Amino acid sequence: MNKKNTVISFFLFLSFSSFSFSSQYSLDELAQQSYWLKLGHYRSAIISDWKSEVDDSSFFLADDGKRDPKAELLATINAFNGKDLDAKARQDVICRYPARFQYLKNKVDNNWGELDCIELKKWQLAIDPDAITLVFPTAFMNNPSSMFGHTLLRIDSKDQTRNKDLVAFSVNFAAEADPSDNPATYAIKGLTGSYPGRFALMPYYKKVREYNDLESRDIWEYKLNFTPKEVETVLFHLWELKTAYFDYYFIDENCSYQLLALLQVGRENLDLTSMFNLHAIPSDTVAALRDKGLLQDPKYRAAFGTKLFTYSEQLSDDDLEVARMLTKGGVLEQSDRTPIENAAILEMAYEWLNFEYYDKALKRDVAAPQLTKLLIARSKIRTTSPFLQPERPIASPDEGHGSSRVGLSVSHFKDNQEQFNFSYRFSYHDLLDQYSGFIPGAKISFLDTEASINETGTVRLNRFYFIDAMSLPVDNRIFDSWSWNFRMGFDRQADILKQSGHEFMQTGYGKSIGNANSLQAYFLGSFELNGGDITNNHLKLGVGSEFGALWQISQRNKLGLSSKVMRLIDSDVEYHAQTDLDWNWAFDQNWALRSTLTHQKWHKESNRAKLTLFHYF
Amino acid sequence: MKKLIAVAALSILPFTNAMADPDIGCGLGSVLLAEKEGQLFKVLGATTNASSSNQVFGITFGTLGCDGTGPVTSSVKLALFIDGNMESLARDMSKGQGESLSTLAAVWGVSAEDKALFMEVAQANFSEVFTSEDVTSQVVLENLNALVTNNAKLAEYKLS
Repeated sequence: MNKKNTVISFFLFLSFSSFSFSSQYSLDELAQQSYWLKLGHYRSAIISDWKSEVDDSSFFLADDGKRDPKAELLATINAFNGKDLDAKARQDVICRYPARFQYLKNKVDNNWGELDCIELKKWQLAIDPDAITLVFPTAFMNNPSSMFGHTLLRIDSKDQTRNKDLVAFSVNFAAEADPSDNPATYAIKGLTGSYPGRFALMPYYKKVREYNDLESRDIWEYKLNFTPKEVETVLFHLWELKTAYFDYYFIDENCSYQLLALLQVGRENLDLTSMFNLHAIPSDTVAALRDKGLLQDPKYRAAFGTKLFTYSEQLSDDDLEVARMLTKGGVLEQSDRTPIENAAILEMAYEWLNFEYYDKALKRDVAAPQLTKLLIARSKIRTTSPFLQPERPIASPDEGHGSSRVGLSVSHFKDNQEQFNFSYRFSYHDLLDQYSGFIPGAKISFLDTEASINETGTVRLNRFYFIDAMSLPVDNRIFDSWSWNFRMGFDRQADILKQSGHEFMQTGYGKSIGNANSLQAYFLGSFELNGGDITNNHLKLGVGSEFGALWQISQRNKLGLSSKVMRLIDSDVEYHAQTDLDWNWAFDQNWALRSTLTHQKWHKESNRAKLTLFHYF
Repeated sequence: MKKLIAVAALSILPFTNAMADPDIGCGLGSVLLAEKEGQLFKVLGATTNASSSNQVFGITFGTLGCDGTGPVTSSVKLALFIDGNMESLARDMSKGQGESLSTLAAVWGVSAEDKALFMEVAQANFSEVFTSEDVTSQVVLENLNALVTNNAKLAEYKLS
């Protein structure tokens, strides 16, 4: 009996004190399993075979864990087996890596027991997870810097009704910027991975306040098709990333990308990130989830500014004027208005002043007392709000076109020349692309390139706009908005014998009227710097205007007329001009046909008709 | 966590209202229109998604007590919610309706049948809850508790 016990103890001792690996996989195979690589955030690298995107060395158990998934796997299994660790230390490691534990428990022969971690349990109890919602704040018209949107997650709990969405926890990935940096440094550091990015958990209402109210963005909430067990696995992995940081790159390893990297851990064969190599735009990541069938129908939260505008539309000019005066001070005078009318005026005045407080940075000791007075006055009218809430837009962000675009065109010039063109735009959206899911009246375009080949087979670069951005928020009764544009790059202009190269930088400022969803017109005063062959490589200043109109004829058809006339300073040519008439027919979510008539004048006049087939991806 | 402690340190525990009960809540001190975000931070948001409000909440924020330890009681959850939603609560309360006010009722534990009454009572006594533009969230919590305590039908929801 004793001898048998000794022998058993001896083998038990061996199995705990040395590396014993027994599995259906070899160590190499297991280390290359896509799920193990997802858990370590490994991607193919140049110098080593793999490199983890986690930049925090404390995330890894092995010294070379960042570059060696196999070493990391070995170190993890050893630790779970308790090699060189006492019972408590072993338990600590297991509780630091619950997702790894859960995965390896089914892949490696073991006698590890179940997960039993007090802190983890407390955390889970507080969150009480049942489902995950993808939250997508888009942009408000008057705030083009937020144009690409953002994505975060919300963990919905088991007993959550719509009334408790606000107190659910949100998971957000963002750069931890240095508060003492100036805006230019922020932009550069954000682009070059100089800030650490981390995941943070906070009540959802903090994010609603930040995006919906302070930054005035519409918010779309998509519940994801994950089972509660998959949700638990995602949270286990989030726990593993507790202190981990990633170098934050605005263009590719940003909030949206990292959220996808987190979510794909929820399911063994789910791949959400391998298609994102060079860049990750939030709307593309929404599309990635949609294409895997993970998105349910979204809910919509209108931005503060959207609500303000909608309320203002429900007031007469007179009532709006009274509300306007109340934002500056005073009380609502007695009159023959009904209580409901008074309630509307008081609510409008409050919302308006509140909005301006943040938007225009008013002084608190002026705004706060008046806001409180307005609320007290309103509370004395015992009626519910007379305002209708903003309607949910027909198209949601997941229904928008892809962020990159290629085009094939045929061009015919008045002098009977023909050209074929090939174009590529890296991102994002112009004023004629199908509007679904994008903010109206705003264009932002990076790396818009076109090459042409003519009848004699000559291939030339026709256009390279490094950036082409235009924001045309319409003026209305409550928002006094300025339109602007900025464009920089290369194109070709009408010269005596050919189309000559034109390098330029141009900017404009002005106004827009109408309705961006139907008919709108704009006028900008413009200033530009010109160079290139067209000016014989001399720098020529231009001053003038850019104006036009856009007409959304039907859901899929849009007409645009745009013109610019620039007077050239100190040049042998008095002025140069271009007019385009476009018709865009978006016959499918990611396809469009655009016809364009162009008239150009510089050293000579030129007329062109062009038909383009666009594909978005 | 740092922010909570800093805010708590700055808040002034009031003793002006004889009915007040400083033993509930976290002693948090947010007031209406406290944070001035302004134009600068729109630029920040563009490349880093960073914001002026403290991003460094870590993974366990809000799941552990007022000072980052211990269990989350209902009055702690309420205190945190009110502290983070002063303006939307004030706005909703003045109208007697709205998502923030509804959420407050739910977090308070008010049953579905009593919710309408809760919101009505809040609107009717608005100026006793939001006593001025400088009222802190701790005082708002105490004032609401006093309202609830003094109402025959809602007294069962009194916090202790």
